[in-house]
Amino acid sequence: MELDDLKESWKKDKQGSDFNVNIMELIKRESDGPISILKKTFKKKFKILAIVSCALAVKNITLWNNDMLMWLFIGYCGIIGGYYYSRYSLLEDMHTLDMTVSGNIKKQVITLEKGVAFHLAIMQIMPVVFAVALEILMYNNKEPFFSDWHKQSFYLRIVCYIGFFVMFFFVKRYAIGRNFSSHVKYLKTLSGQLD
Amino acid sequence: MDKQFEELINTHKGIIYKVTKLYAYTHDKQQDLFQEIVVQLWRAYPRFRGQAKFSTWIYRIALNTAISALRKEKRDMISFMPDLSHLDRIEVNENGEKEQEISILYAAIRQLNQIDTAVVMLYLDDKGYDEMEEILGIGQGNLRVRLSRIKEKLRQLTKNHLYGT
Repeated sequence: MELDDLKESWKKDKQGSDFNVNIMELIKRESDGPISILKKTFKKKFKILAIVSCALAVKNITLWNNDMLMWLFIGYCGIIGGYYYSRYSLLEDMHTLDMTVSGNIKKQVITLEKGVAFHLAIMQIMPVVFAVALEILMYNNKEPFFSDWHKQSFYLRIVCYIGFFVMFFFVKRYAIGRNFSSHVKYLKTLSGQLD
Repeated sequence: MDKQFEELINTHKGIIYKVTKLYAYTHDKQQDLFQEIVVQLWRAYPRFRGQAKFSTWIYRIALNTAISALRKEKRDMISFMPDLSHLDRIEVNENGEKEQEISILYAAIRQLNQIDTAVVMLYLDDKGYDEMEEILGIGQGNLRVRLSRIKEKLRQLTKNHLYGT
């Protein structure tokens, strides 16, 4: 039997017209596609981060008397918030499916690769900014909060910072890879099928 | 907007059903995919401005959803036979072999990759090359060559199954 012979059977297939579904009920349900799952995971992580940040701020409420610390904390929240906003925007951008099939696949590959590269770059810069901010803060105020760390030798602190940068880099790279790499690989397979 | 959307989807739900038939292998997965496609259509509906035909728009979203959402698992052709109970019983009984041939051909279609499956679906729906290009974003020349290769591949797959080669 050839493909052309199947046309007749395909057209006679009446299950489509008898498929009884309540459309308005269906649209109330949540999507469980891969991008929706990424968005849900992402929102959960953001909520946890917001709660932890607020808990830290409340626990160390006395430190809010210190202007520099307060502004650093606000700056940190701003950077983290901006980072998460850009990640969410990336996922929203990938979630528009009304383009042609090949256009959609190519767009998703480009968007995802650019997004991953951008986020890896940010993840390399942030620990450096954190270490520099911490050093500046320690030299500019005498809060007991930092005194133990300030007592350590400068070279030891540098070694610890470098260790932290390296660990942070590999942990974030692993996390981003885990969240996105299988989807990128799949999209590249699809992209290959277009040729 | 809700009522209008519901009416449009009910009018065109055959398109969505047919996408689920070729991209999902069990009844439960077909239902899941059907639901996912309707949700994506609802998300995209406020952006629809009539730049393309409504059916073209539905095909795009349905195929994009099916292709992106599901990893197509390679299956042995024997491992699934589509449910053909809806076929006209008189026709099947007059030629019992036809049902088996149809089943084998569907199984072969499910061996194709995601993009080729989309081409087959549009071909079976009698879409011209210009419409296929509008939906898939693949040039007409490329589509002609691709379809010819697909037909040859399906011949080989069905022949291998029938003669065990």
